[in-house]
Amino acid sequence: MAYRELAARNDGTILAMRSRWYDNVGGYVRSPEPGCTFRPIGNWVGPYRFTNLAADAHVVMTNKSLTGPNRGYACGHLYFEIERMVDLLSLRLGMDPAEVRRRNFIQPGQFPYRTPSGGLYDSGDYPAAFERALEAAGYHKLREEQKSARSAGRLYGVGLAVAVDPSVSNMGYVTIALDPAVRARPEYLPKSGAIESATVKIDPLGKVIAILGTAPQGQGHQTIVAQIVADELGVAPGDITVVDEMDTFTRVWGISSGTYSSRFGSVGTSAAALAARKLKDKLVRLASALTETPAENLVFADGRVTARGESGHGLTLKELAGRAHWNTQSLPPGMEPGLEATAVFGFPLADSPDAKDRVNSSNTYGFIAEVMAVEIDPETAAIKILRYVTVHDAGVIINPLIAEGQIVGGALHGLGGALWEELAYDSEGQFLSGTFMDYLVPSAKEAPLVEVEHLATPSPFTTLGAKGLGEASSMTAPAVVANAVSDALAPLGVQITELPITPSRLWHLLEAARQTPRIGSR
Amino acid sequence: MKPPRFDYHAPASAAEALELLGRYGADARLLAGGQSLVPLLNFRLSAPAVIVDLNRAADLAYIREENGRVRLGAMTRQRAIEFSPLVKSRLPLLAEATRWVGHLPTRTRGTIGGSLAHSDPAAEYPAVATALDTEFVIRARTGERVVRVTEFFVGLMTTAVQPGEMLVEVRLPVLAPNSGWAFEEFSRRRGDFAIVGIAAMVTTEGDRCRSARLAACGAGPAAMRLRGAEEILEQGGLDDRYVDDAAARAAELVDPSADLHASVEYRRHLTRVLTRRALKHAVDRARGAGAQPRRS
Repeated sequence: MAYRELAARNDGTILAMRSRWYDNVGGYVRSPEPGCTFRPIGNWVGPYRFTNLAADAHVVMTNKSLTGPNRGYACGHLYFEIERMVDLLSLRLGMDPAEVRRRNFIQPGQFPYRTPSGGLYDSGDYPAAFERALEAAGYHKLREEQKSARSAGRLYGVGLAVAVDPSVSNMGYVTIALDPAVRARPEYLPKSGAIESATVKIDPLGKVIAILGTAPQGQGHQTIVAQIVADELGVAPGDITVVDEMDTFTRVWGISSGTYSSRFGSVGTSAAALAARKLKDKLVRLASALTETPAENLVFADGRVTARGESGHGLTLKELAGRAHWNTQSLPPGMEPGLEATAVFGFPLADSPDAKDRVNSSNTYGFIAEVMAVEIDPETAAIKILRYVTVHDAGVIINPLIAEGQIVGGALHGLGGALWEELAYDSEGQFLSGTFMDYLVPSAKEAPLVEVEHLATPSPFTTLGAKGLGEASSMTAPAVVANAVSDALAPLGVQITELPITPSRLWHLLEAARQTPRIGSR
Repeated sequence: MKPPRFDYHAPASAAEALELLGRYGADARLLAGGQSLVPLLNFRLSAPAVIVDLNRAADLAYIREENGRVRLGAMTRQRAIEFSPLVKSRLPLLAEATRWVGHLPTRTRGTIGGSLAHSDPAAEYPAVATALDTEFVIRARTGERVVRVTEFFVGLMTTAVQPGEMLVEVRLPVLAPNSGWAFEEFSRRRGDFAIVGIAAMVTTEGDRCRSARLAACGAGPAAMRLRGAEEILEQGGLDDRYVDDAAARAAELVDPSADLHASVEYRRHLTRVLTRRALKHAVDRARGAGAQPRRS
């Protein structure tokens, strides 16, 4: 349960936000809770420029279910609150909600941007991505359609939502749970960092093997690492064997290793690329010595290394590997035998919180802009999603197909929480949604068409300029659908302040509004 | 998530199944398509000593027309009903309702007899059976009886089928001339049980309503016939104002309860909305049928 206040000028400039919330974490605090309260602390202002921010957070233990991280950890409700507030401001000022957002974005020239709560946004062009979304959706046309729909008595709404998409959590953020006075004690051991490791090696037969520390569960890391290593070494992705099983006895790893917090896109790809580059550096030195060609004249392509401008056969990767493994005498002086490189990539700006509880809680920050059009059946209160456009800036996109799958999956995941899924209890504390008959997860039948576009402002902090996007629209879907539904019901004066928006609840809101006389509204 | 222990029998015919039922009586539960019983077992909400699996009883799966009725064997799959040309032409209300029953994969397993004998208050088939003059053939080792729908559904998940008996066949009357039908449903996700579902059938005689049939699911402890609403149409006619009155009356007649997904008021309201929509659709279809050239 959250209360939020917003201060703004009449021209729509947001000056401050103040919030107070009570986070029900259930029977006990399950690590890394109470992260639902502060995990996105660095991006508490979202994509907006205002610098005055106050948060009064309460964590409450009850006999309800425990809470824990889910996709878009804590960002679904963060942006539901912020973006609902921005729409309420638009309504109050009689301004187009698109215009109010335009007036408050952090500008492209301000990156890297330090937020008032300690976040360091790496890169972005929020206005450009936002305009791209409006254009892709045909925003003005949607507003025209809304006018004619409304005049015909239909409940047609257009919603907007924007968000900063944080990825790669900084281990330091969890220590926000401690009082700054505790963290200041001499015996206190601070926490910070966000690292990932990867190893690339070539066996005696020339087979390239990449070993991950990310422990993927279906996110496609194998495909993406094969692409990255193949690009670096000049071979085909199909020639790379990716080893994805994880064993803490045999793998190089760090305390922050793993697949969570959309870490792979930023830190996993960086480690893989760095390991491949390290190995390539050795291959270059080896090939240079064997062919007596200056390193800068060597070209790695099609599985072989050749001298630039010469048509000769050169050396295949297999031949190079053979020399390195079978004839160590041929190695240049001082070169370590074998062909293996391990890289551990760590973000240098993942510091521990300061004395004012400010922390760069994540390491790369993408951007999401969404437009949704809905129509509500005035009789049944059923919500029909007519259009759903989402534009993402996750820096350099390495595999567009996987990126799209993550975004669409995230969108449906977010809509699940906004429209269907709920850990519900009755007034006696009896749990009501203990099976998938009652805890309603949306299926393919409920999935709207999600129109995805990208903008790419590379991150200056990652090896390939890529950022995470696996959580993506799960953060914005609740906000955009709540804004669209509220917009559809604005003539009746209904505003969505609670999720999920079930048909039964929405119908009761409609009934209450119909029985209350209204004095003019937008 | 695993069922309690039970003895398992898989008879190859209805007669063998009845032998087993005779032997085990109330200790036995019949397994049809398993779409309700298997989850109940796995949640341990049901713990029968004996399961008699009917899936090998081939003589219980058939669709055929006889004496103005379509007879469906209890083990006829919902998917077979969905694709049956006979059902489509003779029992279009059943065909339309079938599209609301679960999902394609569950319909390949689920059976009409299983659905009717289970009598979930929110299931579609009991509402269709209630709207029509359905006959249920109930057989025991010792003999057979035919029960009308008015006696078949007794209450919440309770039917007239007694221990030692099983439902072997349902007989639904074929579509009368000058009739229109519709099945309307609202559920939170496609394929879920209905929050409310309405089965409607109207038969015209010139401008008059010769008969109207309305039944609801999801709006009471079992499928409910909405006789009071039918009478408004039979006495007044099928014009919009009578349709509206019948829909309003339907909302008064139902006896819904609240759950996580819908309040009592919302279910009543949906009953009204869906009854009106179903009736309008049915009336349009009946008038369309009436406009066909008639034999003189």
